Amino acid sequence: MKTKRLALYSMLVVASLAFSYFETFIPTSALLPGFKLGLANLIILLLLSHDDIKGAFAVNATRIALASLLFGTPLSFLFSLLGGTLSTAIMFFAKRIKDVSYFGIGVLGGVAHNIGQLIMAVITFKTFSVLTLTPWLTLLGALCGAATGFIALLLTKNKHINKLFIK
Amino acid sequence: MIKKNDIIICVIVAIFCIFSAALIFSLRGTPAKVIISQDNTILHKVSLYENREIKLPHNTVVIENGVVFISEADCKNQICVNTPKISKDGEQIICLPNRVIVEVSE
Ligand SMILES: [Zn+2]
Repeated sequence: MKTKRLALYSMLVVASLAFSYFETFIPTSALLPGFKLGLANLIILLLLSHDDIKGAFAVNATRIALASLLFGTPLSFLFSLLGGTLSTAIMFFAKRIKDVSYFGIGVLGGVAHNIGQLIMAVITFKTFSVLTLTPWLTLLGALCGAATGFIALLLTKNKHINKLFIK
Repeated sequence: MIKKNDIIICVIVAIFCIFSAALIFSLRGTPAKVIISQDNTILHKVSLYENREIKLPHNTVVIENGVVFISEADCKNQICVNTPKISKDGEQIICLPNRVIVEVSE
């Protein structure tokens, strides 16, 4: 790996970790258990916009590991990892759909993230009753995904930002 | 900027939300009731989740935090008082001497 790429990934991990840290101050979990804004999704979208799927997975997994160590629990690590990995994978495939922008990709990513968390909740609590949260987590995931997707859409049009990501 | 399939994705997600919410609301059963009857006539039909004490001529029924039991009875055998607390659909406490049936029902 080129030194320049490594430096970019390190910078992106720090940036997305800052997003995760910022989210711990917003009591979104009071609204719905486990619900977060998912601002780090923005970083993943920017990496995917340059077809860097490996970078997207690596940066996301590193952020999740560090965030769990610094201000999470082993259980929150598993929840985030499943949600984040599913979301990244879905957004990677969504990019292949014709006539779709980062807005739509972000929506699918946000929904996929929360569906992943729900699957983890079913495994953890060994009950399907947690699935009653499905409509609300899907809706909120879509709204947050739409917001980060829209910002990503604007940022990918910025040539200075694009220059950073070019391999 | 925003493209055609973005709208389609949003519509599909919205339909999924509405459909899953409708499914959950339709599956949600009516809250459990406690039915107290004597000689085959229903005397009381109350919520299992409302704590209260119901005094019958010969028995006292207590509903407490989602469980039901008979706390006092003037019958000789006291079987109804010694019956374990009930909480699940279909469970019953019977006081044969007084012909009282306490039943949990959805
Ligand atoms: Zn009795």
